[in-house]
Amino acid sequence: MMLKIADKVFKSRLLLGTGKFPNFEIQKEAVEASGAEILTFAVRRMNIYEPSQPNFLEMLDLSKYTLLPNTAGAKTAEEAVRIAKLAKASGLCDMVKVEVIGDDKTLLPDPIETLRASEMLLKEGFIVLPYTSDDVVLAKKLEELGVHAIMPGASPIGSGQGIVNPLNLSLIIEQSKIPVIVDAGIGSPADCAIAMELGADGILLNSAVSGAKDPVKMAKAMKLAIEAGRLGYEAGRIPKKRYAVASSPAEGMLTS
Amino acid sequence: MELHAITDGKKTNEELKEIIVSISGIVDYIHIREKHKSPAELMVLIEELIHAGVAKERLVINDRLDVALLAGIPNIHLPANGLPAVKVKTAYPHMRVGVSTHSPEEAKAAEEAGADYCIFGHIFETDSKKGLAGRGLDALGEVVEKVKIPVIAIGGITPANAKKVLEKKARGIAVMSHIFSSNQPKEAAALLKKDFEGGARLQLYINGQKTEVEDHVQNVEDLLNFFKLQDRIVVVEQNGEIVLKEQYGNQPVNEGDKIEIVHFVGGG
Repeated sequence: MMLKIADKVFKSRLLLGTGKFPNFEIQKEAVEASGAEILTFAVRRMNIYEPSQPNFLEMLDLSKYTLLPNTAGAKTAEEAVRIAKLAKASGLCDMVKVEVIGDDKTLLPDPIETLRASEMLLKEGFIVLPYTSDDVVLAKKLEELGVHAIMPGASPIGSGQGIVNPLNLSLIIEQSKIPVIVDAGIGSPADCAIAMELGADGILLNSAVSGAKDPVKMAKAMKLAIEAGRLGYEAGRIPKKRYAVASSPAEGMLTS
Repeated sequence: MELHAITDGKKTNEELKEIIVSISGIVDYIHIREKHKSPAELMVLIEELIHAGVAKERLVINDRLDVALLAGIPNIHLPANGLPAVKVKTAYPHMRVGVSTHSPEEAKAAEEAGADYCIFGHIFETDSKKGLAGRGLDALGEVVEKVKIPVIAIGGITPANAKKVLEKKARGIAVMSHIFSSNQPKEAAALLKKDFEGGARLQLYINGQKTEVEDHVQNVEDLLNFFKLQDRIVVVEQNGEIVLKEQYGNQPVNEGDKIEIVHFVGGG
């Protein structure tokens, strides 16, 4: 089974952010090691006086990747729409990660503005992937609007705290008919595996790889963890029991 | 600064062709304003001009939208009693549409109708509008204040007074008799053009910073070339509106424009 967002199909369930890598060489290797097909980017003002400044996006074979620009920096729906339109005008993408931050300290998303921005962008014909808090009702309302995937945070952006509310995540996954991509807060491969075992359709992460001691190795670790978690989910885990159940036959034991 | 030459309606196709070909490398736009010529004659003239190497982009067809469309000329100039600019712009958004105006109110109306620029005049008394006192430089200043679209000044402009017109921040000037009634049209055009060189620099707000660029920067394409960004993956927003790549060459850049040049950077 592949990951399907709107009419786009992806083999990889890892969506990789492109921020804060030590350098472009390591970043390029890490992107390849991760197997990611969707890469997120931010839209920023260019330094017009440095025409030769290197740019990671321009080094990529863009036929191999789907770009997912975010609206980071937006604090209102209107700002998010403006950024999304600028991104789309590049002619390189029609998906957008709606990211409207409501609080500078926790970088948690503003639910109301996120909802408004999603509605406006859907009207503009975007493929809309909102980054939201793990609020179950908000996720439902976003789905009702018609967003193409829902991206609840595992924990605050860049915190590496992993999945702090598995209950809410699993409730969102359970109710959603669209892909659920756990976005933000992932710290280790174990976090990925847990999210995928809960039934998530994908993981979006950045700092956990770009900030690792060896980003290339960590990129591969995340890829494998996501694959393992997904396989585990599809295979169906055993229920948890209070007491032990022996794996070896109870009959024919030598000591009886 | 733009120099527009407007045909005077008094010449044969052969005479026009000779003058236009000689000035086409000097002036920025040549307006074909031949109200007494039939559409068939106009088509012949345009086709011969193109055949002689005059760029389509330099030609502006006055009034006759049908001729412009048929000949593939991307610029149309509408006289005050011409087709409504808003309808032309809506039906043919890729056409560069200019409008003749005679008051600040008319200029504002042209802007609201979606015109890409307006011609305002006449500034000084002219041969073509004898007896009418010029509306003057102050009125020109008022128009430039009132609208954001480029204002091209017309009417009695010569090398002697062109500087004063430019001081009022007109985007350029349009002349008719000074070139088409001249014995030496090419030299007359060159002299006017020379007046502009070393003229004002264009002041813009780029990415929130007050930025000056050379005054040969007339459209978004020029602007990106000026900063050597033409081959980079960037997106341009002008006064809150996105400028698509296909529009770069036709989208004028005006004094005081707020321009954003953005690109993709790493982000999660």
